[in-house]
Amino acid sequence: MRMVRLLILLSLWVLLNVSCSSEHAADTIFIGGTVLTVDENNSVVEAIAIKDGMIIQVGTTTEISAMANSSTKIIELKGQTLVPGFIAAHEHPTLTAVFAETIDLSAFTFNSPDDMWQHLKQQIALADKGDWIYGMGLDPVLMPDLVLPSKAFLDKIAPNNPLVIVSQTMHSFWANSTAFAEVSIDNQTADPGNGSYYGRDQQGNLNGFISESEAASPFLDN
Amino acid sequence: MVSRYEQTLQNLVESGFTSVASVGFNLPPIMARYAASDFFAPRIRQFIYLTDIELEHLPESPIQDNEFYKILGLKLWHDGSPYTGTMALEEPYLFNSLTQMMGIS
Repeated sequence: MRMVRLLILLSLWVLLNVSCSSEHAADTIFIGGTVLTVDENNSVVEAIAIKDGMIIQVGTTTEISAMANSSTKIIELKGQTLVPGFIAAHEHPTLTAVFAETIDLSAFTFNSPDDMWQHLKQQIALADKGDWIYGMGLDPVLMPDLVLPSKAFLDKIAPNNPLVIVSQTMHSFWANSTAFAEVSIDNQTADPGNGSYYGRDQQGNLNGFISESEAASPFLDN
Repeated sequence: MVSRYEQTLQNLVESGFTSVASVGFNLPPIMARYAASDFFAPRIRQFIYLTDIELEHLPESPIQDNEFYKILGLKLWHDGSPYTGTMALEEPYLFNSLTQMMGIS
């Protein structure tokens, strides 16, 4: 009986290697699942084969299993669904990396404006006098009861430091009086353009708001 | 900076993203390529668009030899934001046939 089992196993091993040479064999196959290919016909298949990090074939479990040899990694999906990876179609990973060590003000982190501002105040208290302070992620979309900060408000919470806050969209910025003074931007400074400008009150005085990166760039060079 | 960029790409991978388009404000290509390598295996596909101040990095011809890093071209038009008020729109951003169909208008 033991000999019969050994012969069967040996035969299977030989069959695998004969049916699919290493040149054509997949490195990894996923079988036995529901695979959403999202191809032009939105095909749904059972299995896929990978070689050198690329999908080389999709099909039935039987078809894809034939692409395996003894060194192929076989992953049984057991009926689970496999979907393509997401595509981040509009990102700025460099900016994300730049702002990674700033103070997180995101609505993903804080449930309320009070909690978020309290956290910022705590972080400001830890900074040395005169150090630039950057907060990242102000989000009036996910935090609809958020009141956007005025220059007077930012002056009050950071009287001794230049403070710059960046919105989650990275299109809006806010700064306090110390930050404006540090970069020599005042009520008389011309706006870079119609879309990128410094917010002003009805008297033409800076109100702390900064629109778009060109106007914000002097504040981000520190 | 490179290590933070690597972590940014890794965070995308761990969130289920396999491709990322970087549309301006890019690392120099050699640094981005380095960060995209996870122990010599591709970490994520990077598709790069350069802004007008990054023209020095534009290759003479499209990159065809690397499926995981391609500089596709220039970013000629800078987008705005509906929340900043700098985005040009032809129809209401949150009230249109799509948002009505999705029930979020």
